Amino acid sequence: MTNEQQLSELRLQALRFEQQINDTVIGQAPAVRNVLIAILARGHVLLEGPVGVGKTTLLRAFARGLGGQYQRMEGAIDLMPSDLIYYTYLNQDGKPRVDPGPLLKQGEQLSIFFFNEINRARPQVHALLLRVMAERMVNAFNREFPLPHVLIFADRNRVEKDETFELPAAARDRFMMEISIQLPPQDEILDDLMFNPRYHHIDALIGHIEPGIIHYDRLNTFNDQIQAEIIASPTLKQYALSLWKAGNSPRDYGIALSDVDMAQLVLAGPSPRGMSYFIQAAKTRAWLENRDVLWPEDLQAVFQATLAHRIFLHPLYAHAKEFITPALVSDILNHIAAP
Amino acid sequence: MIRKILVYITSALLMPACALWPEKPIRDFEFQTPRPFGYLIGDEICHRILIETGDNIRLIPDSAPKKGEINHWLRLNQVTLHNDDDGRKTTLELCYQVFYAAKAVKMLTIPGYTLRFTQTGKSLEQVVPAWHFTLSPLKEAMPRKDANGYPYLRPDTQPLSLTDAAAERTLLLATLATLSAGVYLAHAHGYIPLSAGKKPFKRAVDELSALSPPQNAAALSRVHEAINTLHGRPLFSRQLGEFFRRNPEYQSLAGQFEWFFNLSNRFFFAGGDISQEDWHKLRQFCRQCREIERGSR
Repeated sequence: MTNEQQLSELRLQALRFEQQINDTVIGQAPAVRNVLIAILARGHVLLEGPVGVGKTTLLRAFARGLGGQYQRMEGAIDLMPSDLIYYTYLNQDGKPRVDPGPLLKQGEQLSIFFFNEINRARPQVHALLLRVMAERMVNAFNREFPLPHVLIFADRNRVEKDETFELPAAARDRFMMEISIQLPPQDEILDDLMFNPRYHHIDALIGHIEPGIIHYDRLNTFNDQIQAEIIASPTLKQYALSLWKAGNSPRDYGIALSDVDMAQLVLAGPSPRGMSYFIQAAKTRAWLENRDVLWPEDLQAVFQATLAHRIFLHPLYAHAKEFITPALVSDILNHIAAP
Repeated sequence: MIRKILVYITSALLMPACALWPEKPIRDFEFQTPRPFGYLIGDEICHRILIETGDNIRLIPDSAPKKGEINHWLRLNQVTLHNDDDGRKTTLELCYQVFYAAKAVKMLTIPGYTLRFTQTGKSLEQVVPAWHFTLSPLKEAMPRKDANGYPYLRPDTQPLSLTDAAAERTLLLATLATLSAGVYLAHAHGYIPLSAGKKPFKRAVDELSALSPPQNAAALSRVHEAINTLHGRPLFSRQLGEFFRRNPEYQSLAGQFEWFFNLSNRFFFAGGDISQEDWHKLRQFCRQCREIERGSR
């Protein structure tokens, strides 16, 4: 089977997988599409949203379809980096034992590591995750443990602010996407979630996902092929460049928000790493749409998820970033033409 | 004894109340007249009488003079009686016309009369006095004679010219309405150069006609600019539904819009070329948009 055939087969599998996830976690199709793109583009994801909207269910469903192993860690204020690497205990013979922690336990079969409520963990833990995300390996017991297929999925609860630590900019920048998962607005979906027994038993619900529908250990290779295959024209590159510059200096592109001094709004715009993630995600989206060229729509589709969390606002406006950043992103997309 | 004294004292205190003067039935009577001199035959003389009465006192309307001939030279043309809401104030207006042909200045008299009022069955009267005035003749006692020996005649008053102001106003309004409609139609159809900025497809058609096939990017960009200007912001193919909702008049060209965006995407992002036929279709598409813009479609 040629590479082209394999990619074509993978696309069909990925679309089938997406459909199964949408049947499992209803009313979250845009978020599901973004998570799928991040997985295929090998990017880490920060999930953000209120409690109980299906973030964990979504990740478990993805983990089942990906195959490989899934580990989950709950963020807590007293959690230390070593808690992710090993744990000690006395065995039944009364002798001390050291066993691998959640990061090392599954070895190279670890495909998704879900860090729940990451903002409850201390910055030391964020630093460890930052290295895992950047290098896909961890140092322990005087040697390196490669984690070539791992994707970090973190969840941030924005309801509570007490005893939480905001993720540093460097850590946020290493997440390919920050995906917002909110309550579905449609009444019929809410009604279904309340009364349909299908959604009352999470394990049974996730059991409907075809296990290992896309193999996690082939995705790195496939991603390399996708990134090489999808072409960006000069006009598209110019459009992407304009989007990047507008993210740094929105005023230069005639973008104005009410009651905001645009000259000092943006403290730091998207980084080169962020733009690289942005283009990778856009290429993956184009591939899912069965195209071998990037269109502006591909960039627009992933702009919010890949770049919004990389725009850092002046402290004067940081308190209202939940309102200002989406408006800024929307205005950037609405002001820049291609061509 | 003491009881008798108390009865006397009480009676003495009550006596002034019983002895109060009855209310004056006609509280005010005012006879308003004009100047008493300088009248000519045919002049009208109007009198106004203002009467204020006490409670339950009403003027008997029949006691006022009746319209018609008072004597051989005086005629009462108009009698107007008006009472206010509570009936206490009455206004009586009388307009006489004088037909006395005086040969010299002469004093005449409008005769007086008596107004009668009723108060719970009893009758009251108020006399309106006679009014004297002087009347002058129209012509001198010995008028001049003309060449034929007849008394001269004054020329008749020239009749007033019929005014044509209403016709002029109508003509002006009709002209303004016609001009306004003409300017609006010219604007709507894009014939006014100053309004061309608001007609993006007019500009696009003009610019497209100046371009030729090698200038593919410029041609497509001109059409994109026109569409973006109309939409108010850059329009992408996925937003066509929103565009048609905001500009339903272009819905009839939905197929051509999709064709254009596919052509543009193919050229700008997939390295495709534009054929002569595409150029022809592009110009036609732009012209069709222009026709919708000017309201011709």
